[in-house]
Amino acid sequence: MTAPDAVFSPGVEAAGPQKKLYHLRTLYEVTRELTGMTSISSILESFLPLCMGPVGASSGFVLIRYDDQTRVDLSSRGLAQEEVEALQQMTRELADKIFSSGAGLRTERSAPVVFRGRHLAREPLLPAGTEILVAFVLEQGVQGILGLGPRIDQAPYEQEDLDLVLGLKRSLRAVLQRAMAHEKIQAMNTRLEHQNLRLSAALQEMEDARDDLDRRALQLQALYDASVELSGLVEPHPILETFLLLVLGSFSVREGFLVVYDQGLGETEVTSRGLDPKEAEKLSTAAVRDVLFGLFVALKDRIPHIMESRWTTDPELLADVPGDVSAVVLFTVDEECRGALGLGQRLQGGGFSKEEHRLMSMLLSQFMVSLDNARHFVMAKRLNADLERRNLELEQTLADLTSARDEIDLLQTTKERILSLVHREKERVSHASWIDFAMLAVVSVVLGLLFNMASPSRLSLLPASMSGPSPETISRQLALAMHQEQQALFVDARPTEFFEQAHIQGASNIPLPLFDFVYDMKLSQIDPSRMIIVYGRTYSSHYDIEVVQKLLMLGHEQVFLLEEGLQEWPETMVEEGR
Amino acid sequence: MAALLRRILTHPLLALLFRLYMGGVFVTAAMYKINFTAEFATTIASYQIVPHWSVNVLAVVLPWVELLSGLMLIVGLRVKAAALVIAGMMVVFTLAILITLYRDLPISCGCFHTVDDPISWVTVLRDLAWLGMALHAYWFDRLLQLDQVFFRQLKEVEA
Repeated sequence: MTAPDAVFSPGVEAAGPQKKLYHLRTLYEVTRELTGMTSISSILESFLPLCMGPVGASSGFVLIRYDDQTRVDLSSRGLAQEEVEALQQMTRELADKIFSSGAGLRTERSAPVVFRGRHLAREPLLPAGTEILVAFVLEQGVQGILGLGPRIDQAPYEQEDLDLVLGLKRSLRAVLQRAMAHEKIQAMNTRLEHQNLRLSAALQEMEDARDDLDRRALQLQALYDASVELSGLVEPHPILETFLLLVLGSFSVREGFLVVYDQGLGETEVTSRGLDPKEAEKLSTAAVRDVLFGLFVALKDRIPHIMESRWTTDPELLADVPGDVSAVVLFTVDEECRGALGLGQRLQGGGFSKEEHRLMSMLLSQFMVSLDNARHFVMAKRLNADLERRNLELEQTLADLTSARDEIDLLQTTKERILSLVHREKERVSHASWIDFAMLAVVSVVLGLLFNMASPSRLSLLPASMSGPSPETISRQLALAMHQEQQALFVDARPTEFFEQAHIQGASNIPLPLFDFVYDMKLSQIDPSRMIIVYGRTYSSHYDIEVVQKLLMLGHEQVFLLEEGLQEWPETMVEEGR
Repeated sequence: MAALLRRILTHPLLALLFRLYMGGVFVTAAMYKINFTAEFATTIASYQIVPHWSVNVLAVVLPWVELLSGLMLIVGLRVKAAALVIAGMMVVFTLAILITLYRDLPISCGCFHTVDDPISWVTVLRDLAWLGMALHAYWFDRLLQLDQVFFRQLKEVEA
């Protein structure tokens, strides 16, 4: 684009009153016409003919260009289609060329720039024949360009026309600014509506979330209640009763039952609420057990795994289940423990929602955990009882073992003593001991004494010489005198063998064993008053005393015992032989 | 040869024969003395070795000692003790005979009968032989003893 031929300031040159009035009326009409319009494109469409007509332009265009978007509002009159399309495509280049030319068009407060002259016809970006070009800034980043082609009468535009155009431009600018403000308000309204919609949606979502949270809170409360109530229980049956009450209350169910078959403990736990007593009694029967296990079989591949539960609501399957049940929840605690929860009709009618299914599943999980703990508790109790019993047995065994050990020790000691005794006895047996001699001596003495006492020829233990009265003795001198005078008869009381060795001359031998025989032969005829002197004794036998005693008994009056015996008798008066 | 002789001389069978013989001798000797206690007392007194107050007691008891020890030898009961007792009596008897021979007392042995042959050195040799037999039995006898039965039981207990 080339520099304009001249730049006019509006209203500088005075016009005729009629024309001025016309122009003012035109401005008034245009302003009135455009006032109230809110669409930029409609404003442009309406403005262009209203602008071209008063100045007699054969063609023209007006466009609005926005910096921050590709949008271009364009309206044209009297231009060929190709020119309109070219203008539409080249709008941004044209605007850049005009508004970056240093003409001071930066803000909405900047005065419009008017290009006028023949040189505009050489500008390729403009439609052919453009004679007036007015550039203005609507607001920051929004520019407008008004272009007018030659007048219909081919006459050049006058200053009044240009002033009118500038006046119209001002009106257009004001209307456009209002329209743009309206558009902005509309856009803001639209955004606000959208935001309102989003807010409503968010509010709805929030309400849904709150409802969901309420449900979850309810579920959690139910779970918490179940957890609290079940946690304090350690026996299976109270757990069943508590859980059934909790479930019936939480789900508003009229009646129900809970059965657990525990093969591990070998027990069946049954509890029910609201059931007819006859129906409740059936729960413990084998028939119902078969029916409930039949439900497990009927589930086939949906059989609950460990710590899982499954719902069964098929009326055909539940036909044989006791009570007016609408659903049975089967559960498996472990391989040895299964059970069924029977639920009757609900107080408010209807079935169970998915949420309730989930809640029931969670409650049953909690229940199964508690039941499993209780089973382990029972098992532990049984094991403890068994352990206590085994402990007692072990203690008894230990006591027995200790006793046995003591006994063994005692036996060992006894054995050692016995072995020692045996050893000593062996030693004793293999050798002669003083006991043997003592025993032999004692037995011999006893037997000898007993036999001697019983024998007819019993022998006095003391010799007769010690038992009788002491005989009268005669001294050796007196005896010698009596021997010499032959006043006495000398009797040798020793055995014959000793007598033959040596005896007093003239003495008669009367050995004690042969006393009676020899006495009859030798002394029976002598005078009983004749003196008889008896001698003959040894260390081991006092023959003389015994013979004296016998002679005295036979009536001899003077029987004396020779003192000092044969040993002190004079050898000259001793002889040998018979 | 010496070993064979030693084996023969120490053979338990020989000890058994000596034991039975000595047992028989003492039982035989004791039987007469028990039946004729007074005569045996006279025999004891004739040796003039023991005091007169003990003669009768010895005459009553000694034959029973001989009888019991002789029976113990025969049945094999406490053989060593019985053999020692008999050996002891043989020592006493031999000493008594030696003393009597020394004193030259005109008495008979009185071992089996009151009217035995007079004591002589033969009597001493006989008694010494009997003493040897008794000691042999003491040392080497181990057959047919009643003690062995008890002994066997002791061994079983020990095992």
